[in-house]
Amino acid sequence: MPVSNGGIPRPLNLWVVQSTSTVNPGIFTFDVTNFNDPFSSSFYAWKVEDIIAGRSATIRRVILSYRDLGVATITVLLSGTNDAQAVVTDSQEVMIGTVAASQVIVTQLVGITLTGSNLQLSISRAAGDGPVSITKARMEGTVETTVY
Amino acid sequence: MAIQINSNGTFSIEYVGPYSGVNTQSPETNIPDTATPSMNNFMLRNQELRSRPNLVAALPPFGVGLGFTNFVDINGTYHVVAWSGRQLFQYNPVGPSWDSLGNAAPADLKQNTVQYRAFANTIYYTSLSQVITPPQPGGGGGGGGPTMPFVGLWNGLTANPQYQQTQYDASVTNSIAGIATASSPTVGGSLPGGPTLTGPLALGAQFLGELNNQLILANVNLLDQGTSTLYNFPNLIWWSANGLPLQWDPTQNTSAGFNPFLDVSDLITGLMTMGVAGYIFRSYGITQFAPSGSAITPFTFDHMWASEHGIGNVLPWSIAQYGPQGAFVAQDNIYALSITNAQPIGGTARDAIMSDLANMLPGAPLDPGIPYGVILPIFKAGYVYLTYQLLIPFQDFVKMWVYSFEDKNWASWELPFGDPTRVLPTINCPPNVV
Repeated sequence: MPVSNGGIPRPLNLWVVQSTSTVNPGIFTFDVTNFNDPFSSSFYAWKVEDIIAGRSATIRRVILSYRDLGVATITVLLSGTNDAQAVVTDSQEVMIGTVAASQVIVTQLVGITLTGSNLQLSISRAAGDGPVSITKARMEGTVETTVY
Repeated sequence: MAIQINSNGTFSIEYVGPYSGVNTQSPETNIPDTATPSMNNFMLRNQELRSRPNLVAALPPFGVGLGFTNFVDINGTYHVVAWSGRQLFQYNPVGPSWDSLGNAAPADLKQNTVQYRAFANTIYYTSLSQVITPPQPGGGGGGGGPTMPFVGLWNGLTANPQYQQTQYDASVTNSIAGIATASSPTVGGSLPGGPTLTGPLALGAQFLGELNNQLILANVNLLDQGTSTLYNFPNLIWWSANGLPLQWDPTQNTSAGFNPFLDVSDLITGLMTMGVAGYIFRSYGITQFAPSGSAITPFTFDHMWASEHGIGNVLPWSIAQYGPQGAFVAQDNIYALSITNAQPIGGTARDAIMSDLANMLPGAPLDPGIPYGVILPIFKAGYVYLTYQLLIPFQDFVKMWVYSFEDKNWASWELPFGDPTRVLPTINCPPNVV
């Protein structure tokens, strides 16, 4: 029987893509043990909340539950609009995770406040600023409930 | 979870998965709690919002890869292969390195993506430059410069791939899909327009598939080697003889043959075989075909909608298949094709994806290439994520839209593959699991 010309006993089972960019050339794969891409930032915005239409609300804190994949720095951003129809924001940089990267779910309270309408929570991480895995986000605050 | 408002005015809002992904088709205030009006580089897998995995170098440096795949030879040995320039390369874990197997084609393949198909423990491949006018949105087909039409093969045993074939009359075709000189006038007389052909003839195509133990070429180019005249048959499919992938001559074996679709208004933009049926995609339609059981007319064809315009594949490389699941981009949506039906899957991200396709950087002087689609089950062994991945090149990055078949959501990623100074594409073939 003719023998094989080279080859391997089993497939590599690896997702690959090639970039011929002179900036970032190579044959790449996703390292599914590392969620801290040094070249690419990340962000995620949740829906815009009008709480009760026409009433200003105040977010008093944000609670993030996340899986500890290692130390990461994220920016928690609240945005909304005020009665003058201007955009208002508040943001806070938060360090999450541990060097040990325990893989367990932990909770981080973020003391961030914003008053306005059409409030929106978003998070972002800069390129190389660590792995992030949010399992739950919670906003707490107050809103005027006086009947009219 | 809906907003919880207490009688004293305190409220709380919780956001948890499963996530429904990008939603740009409702006001940001009206989307579900599980949706996002905008995101980048977060993965929605397993109900977590996780920064997408790091891109790392996986295999050794290489030329401009025009296709990556693997196949298993008759000894059960796997070969990871790739095409670049005119050559076929094999991954060698010692080094590691890419070992050249020699010329795989009659000419430089330039930037043209390779279509391949494993059949009988042999990898068959073709590549063709053929600009397909983009209907919309955006994009087209083919790459830089013309190539000579051909089909080649490598069985994993021989020292070199094969793209030439000696025909029964001793004429040599620069394609294993060829027609002998002695048969060429007869075959030419049956083709659309009845061209007078000298022969021998070399066949190549934009698309390659297999059904009923017959290799199938779709959107065919034919080179009359006797006169160096190139004939373009964008609506023609040509199949090999049953079980004989080196026999394409209907005058020698009646189960080989071709069929020009003269009754359609568009051109072939893809090919998919699924179960006992095949689907020939056109810009504005889909033609289903199935084995007939007859050796002389081995396939029956059914244009699934006879209207002049309908659901088709407008981007030739957006078409993708994994087992019984296919996907493609039509004018009005992204569709998943199964054995039973075609379902729109663009969902609430449709407009954002279509906008990206329409706004990707157009041609020269900066030509970032064309969008590529692929359905892949894993990122690596043990890490399952069955997704349709649509890669859209921009000047500064490649946008990767990821559709999870399990969660039915779209996520938007950016891969740092842009290059403002380049005039050539930064990706030349779709990703693959090798």
